[in-house]
Amino acid sequence: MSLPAGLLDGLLALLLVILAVRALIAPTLYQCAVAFISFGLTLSLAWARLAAPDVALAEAAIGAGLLGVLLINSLRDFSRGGDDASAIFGKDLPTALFSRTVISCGTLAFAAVLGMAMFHMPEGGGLTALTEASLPHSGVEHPVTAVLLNYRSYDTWLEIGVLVVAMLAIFCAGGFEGFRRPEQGPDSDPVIESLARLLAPLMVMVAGYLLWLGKAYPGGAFQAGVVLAAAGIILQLAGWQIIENLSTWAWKWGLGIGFFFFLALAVSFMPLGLGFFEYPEAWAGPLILVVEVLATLSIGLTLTCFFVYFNGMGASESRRRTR
Amino acid sequence: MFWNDWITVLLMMASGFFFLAGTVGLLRFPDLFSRLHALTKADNLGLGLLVLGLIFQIDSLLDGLKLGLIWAFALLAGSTGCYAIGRFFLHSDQKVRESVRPKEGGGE
Repeated sequence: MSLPAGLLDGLLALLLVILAVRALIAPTLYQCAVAFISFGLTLSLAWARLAAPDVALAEAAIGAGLLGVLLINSLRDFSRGGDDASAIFGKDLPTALFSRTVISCGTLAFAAVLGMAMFHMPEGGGLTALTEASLPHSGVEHPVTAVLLNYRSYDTWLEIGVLVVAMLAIFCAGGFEGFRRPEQGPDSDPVIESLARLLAPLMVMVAGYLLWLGKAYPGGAFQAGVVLAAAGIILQLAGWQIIENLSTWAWKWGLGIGFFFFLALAVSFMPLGLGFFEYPEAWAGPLILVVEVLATLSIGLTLTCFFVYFNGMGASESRRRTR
Repeated sequence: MFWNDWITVLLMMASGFFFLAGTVGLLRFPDLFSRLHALTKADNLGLGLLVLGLIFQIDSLLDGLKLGLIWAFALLAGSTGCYAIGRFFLHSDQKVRESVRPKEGGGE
């Protein structure tokens, strides 16, 4: 490694630690959120430097972009009691002390486990050779996509499931009524609306491109889904209310289709003697593409729903207060 | 070093100057509008010069087009974001306006 590159990497690593600490101990919740967003951006740069463009893309889109939007949005709506970051530890001194101790111990334990993992790096490059060797049978050409949607599709299926469960949890917390409120939304603005008109179609195109690219290059369902969600959020901010105007049938199926199609696919070849989540080799490529398209739709819709729902809940909250 | 490397270095240094000036302005300027001005200046000119400098390092027209698109989208998003912040500030109440004013004796 040359000296300038080493300097850059050192600076990145230092910045990551500073931002991580800042995201934890900044005086106001807003500063914590901003530090966390910067942390996500810096982390995606670090992944890019580590030659892991798949992770870098996902981190930039999810960690910095979407999580940032959700954090700031939730902050505006739920920090009615004030923005003091230390208030989240509890109001009276014993509670605060207790929660601080628990969180510190947990963090230390986590750091210790991470440190131990660092000292026991797998030798011989882990499963890289095996992954590369089976690539011709996987139906795709990019090793990361092959791992995500063929070798370890069980994990990916569960990840999509986490999103579905999160959506269900949000519905349980607020009920469907808070969600379906077509008559109110953010007031539209000509400048933001024209930006949305310009960007949203392009973003849908980029999402499709990322999805298609996943077959042979970095990209794939999660990245494409987040870009799709970003388009949805921009349209929502411009006052379009796409989610509220979808029919109940459409968004219920939209939320679940990625998860359930993946599951149906996992079991449908078992009568033929194949294992759970095992596809016939000749069909693997097209099947993976279908799974990815449906997963992208579900992920995009779910993430947009998170945003819309938090927005709707905040609006109803402030209406209640002004009454 | 070839002639194009020298052009890149020059343009990058100019870009770095604008980013530095924009950051200093963001931290030191007295009110929200001048800070926004400093910030968007860094985005527009700094990133523009950076992209222009990188264009001298590429082989294909397609890569140059992609770089140009990056700049164009950053311009669009930057100006719209700046507009949105300014609009929010104009329509906000006294409490919000007080909160963005720096403490006595300069910025943080």
